[in-house]
Amino acid sequence: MGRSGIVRFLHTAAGILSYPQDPRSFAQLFGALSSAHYTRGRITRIHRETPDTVTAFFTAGDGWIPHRAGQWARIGVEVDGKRIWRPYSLSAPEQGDPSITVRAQGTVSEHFVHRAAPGDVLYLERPEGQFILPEMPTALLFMVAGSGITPVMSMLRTLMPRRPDHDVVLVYVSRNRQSCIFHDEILELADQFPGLRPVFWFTEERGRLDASDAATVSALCPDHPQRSTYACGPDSFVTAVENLGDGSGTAPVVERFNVTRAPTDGQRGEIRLERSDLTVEVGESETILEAAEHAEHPLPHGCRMGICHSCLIPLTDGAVTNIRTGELHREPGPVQTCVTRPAPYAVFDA
Amino acid sequence: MTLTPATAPVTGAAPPAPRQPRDPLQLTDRELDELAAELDTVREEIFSQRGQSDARYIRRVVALQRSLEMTGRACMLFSRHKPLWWTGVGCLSVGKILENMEIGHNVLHGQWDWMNDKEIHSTTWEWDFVAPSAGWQRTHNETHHTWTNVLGKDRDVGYNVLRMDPEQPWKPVNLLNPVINLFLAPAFEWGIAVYDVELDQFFAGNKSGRATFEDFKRVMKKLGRQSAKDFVVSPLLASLTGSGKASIKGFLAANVIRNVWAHAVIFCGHFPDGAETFTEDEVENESRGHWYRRQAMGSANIDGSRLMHFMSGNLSFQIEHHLFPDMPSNRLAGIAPRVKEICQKYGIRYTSGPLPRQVFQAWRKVFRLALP
Repeated sequence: MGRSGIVRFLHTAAGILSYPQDPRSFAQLFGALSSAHYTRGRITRIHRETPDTVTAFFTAGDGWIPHRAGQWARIGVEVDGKRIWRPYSLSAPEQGDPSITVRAQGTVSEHFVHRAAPGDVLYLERPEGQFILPEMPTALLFMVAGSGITPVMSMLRTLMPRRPDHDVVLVYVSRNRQSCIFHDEILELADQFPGLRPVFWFTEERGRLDASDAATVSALCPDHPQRSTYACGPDSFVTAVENLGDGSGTAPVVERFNVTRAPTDGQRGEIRLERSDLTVEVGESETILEAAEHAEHPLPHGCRMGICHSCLIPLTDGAVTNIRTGELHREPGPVQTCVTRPAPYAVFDA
Repeated sequence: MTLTPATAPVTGAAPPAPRQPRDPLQLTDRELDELAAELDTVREEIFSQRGQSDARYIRRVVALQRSLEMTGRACMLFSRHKPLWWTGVGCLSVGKILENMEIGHNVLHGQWDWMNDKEIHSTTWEWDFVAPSAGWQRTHNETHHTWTNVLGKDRDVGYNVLRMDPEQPWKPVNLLNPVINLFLAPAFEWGIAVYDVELDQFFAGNKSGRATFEDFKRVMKKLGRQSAKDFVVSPLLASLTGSGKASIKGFLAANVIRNVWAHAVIFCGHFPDGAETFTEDEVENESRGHWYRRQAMGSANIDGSRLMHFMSGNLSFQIEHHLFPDMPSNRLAGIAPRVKEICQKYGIRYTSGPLPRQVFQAWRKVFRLALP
C-alpha cells in the first residue's frame, strides 16, 4: 500500500466517525488546506509590481497540478461574503511556487490589489489552456500588450534559464514605464541571457502600436515572418497581430484577455441546456423554468415562487436576472430557475 | 398608506396603530398587495445587505459546532470518568442541536446559497440527522413551506400521527395522541425519517411504490451509517479504555436531548394558540399578499434570550422564517420588530410567547384533540 493508499484508508476510517461530513471539513479547523469540495490554496506573499498591479504567490493544497508556462487557472476568492471566480494567467515559472499577477480592473482583481493579504485562502481549479510552448521551440516573437505579459513572463522565466541562447524577441506595449509590469526584471533577464531581446513600446511616448502593420513590426523585429509568434493582450491587439503578415507564415498562437459578453436584460432570451443538448428561447414574460416546460423539457422545481430552492441548476456561462429583485447573477453556480430569466443568454449544466 | 422607508431603524417610532382592530381575512386584494409590497421591501433590503459579516457569522457557528463535536467525541473515549461523560454529553448535545437547527435546517433552506460556496450550500449539505437531506428538503421546503397550515396539503399538521386541528376528523386512534407525542419527542429524528418516506402518500396512491421504496432504502442506508457512528464504532473505540458501555449511554443521551429539544421548539412553530389553519378552498388562486398573510397567521414565535434564539436555530422567529424562508437566520431578530409592526397594521395577529407557555399550549392541544 503506497502513500496515497494509506491516505485513502485513513480518510475512509475517519469518515465513519465524521459522517455525514467529510473528515477534511474537520481538518480545516486546524488550518489544513483540504476540503471536500475544492482545491484550496493560501497566499504566502504579495509583491507590488506597479502602483496598480500585484503578484500574489500561493501554496496549493491537494488536487492542484503544476502548470505549464503560459497556462491559466480559475481562481475563486471571497468578496463581501460571496465566492467569485476569475481566470488568471500564472506568471511564475514552471516548477516554482505558483503565482498570479493582477492589475486592479474589476471586482476580483481590485480585491487582490487592495485587500488580499498573506494567509488568505484561495480556491483553485486546475491550470489549463493551450497558450504554451512546444518542447523544442524555434526562434520566437512575443507580442504582448498590458497585462498580456503575465503568461509570457512565465514562459520567459521557464525557457531562458534552460536555454540561455534561445533566440527570443519580446515586443511589449504598455502605457508608460511606471505601468509596465516586470519592466526591470525583463531587463535583468536580457542582461543574463543574451538570446532575449526586449523591445518596450510606451504608448504615451510613441502612440498606439499598429500590430497589424508589417512595416511597423519589421522596424521592431525585422525577421518576424521567420519566427513563431505568440500574442497576448486585449482582444483588439491580438486580432491586429493575427492580421499581420501575408498569411504565408504559420498563424500566431494567441491568448485573448477581456473577452466578455456584456449581460443585458433583453426582451427575449435564450437558454442552453448542455446535458440535454437543447436550446430554448425564453419569451418576454417567461421564467427559465416555464420556458423549459413549454419546450416539453421539465426541470426540477418545487414552490415555483422562489422560496424553496428545489429548482437549482448550475449556471456555467452567461447571466440571469432575478425577476423578484432585478439582481443580475453571472457567477457560475446553482441558480433558481423559477424566478430567473436569461440576460440574455445562459448556459446550464442540465 | 406609507411604505416603511428603506433606511428606517428597526426600533424606530411605530406608526400610529389603527383605532379599529381589523379582521385580516377581510383585507381587500389591494390591501394585500400593499402588505406584500411592504414585506417585499423588508426582504429586499436585507438581501441586498448580505455580506462579509453574515458569511463570518455562519462560518464561526460551523467552526464552533465542529469543535464541540470533536471535543464531545474525544470525551466519550474516556467516558467511564464521570466528569468527562458529562462534558462529552454536553458538547455532543449542543453540537447536534446547532448542527441540525442553526446550521442544517437553515443551510438546507438555501439561506447561505448566496455565498456561492459548495461547502455551505443547500445542494451539497448532508446533516447529522437520520432523515436524508434531499427527502427532507422535499417534504419540508416544498410541501410544508408552500402549503403551510393548509389542511389536507401540509402534512406537518400532526405529521400524520397526531390530530392537531379540530377540523381533522376524529378517529379512535387519536385517543393515543398524548402517548404518541410522548414517544415521538425522544425519537424525533427517527420519526421525521419515517415521515419523509411518505408512506401515507403511497397508501393514498399519490406516490409510486418504486419512489417510496427508493426513499425507504435511502433512509435505511443513512440510518445505518448514523447508528454505526454513534452506537457501534465510537463505543468500540471507547472500549479500549473500558468506556464502551458509558459511551453508548452518552451518545444515547446526547441524541435524546437533541430530539426532545428539537421536538419542543418545532411544536411551538405552528401549534400554540393563535396559529391558524386554512382550507384548500381558501388558498385557491392565492396572490403573494394572501400567501404572506397565511404564513404570518399560521406561525408562532417564541420569546426569549439570545441564547434561546441561537439554540433554536432562530426558529423562534417562526413568523419571520415563514415569510422569508431563505433569509439568513442571523437576520431574523433584526427584522422582527418591523414585521410585527406591519402585521399589526393589517390586523394580523403576531403570535408570540415565552417557551414554557408555547410548549404548554402545544401539549394542551395534543391532549384536547385526543377527544372528539
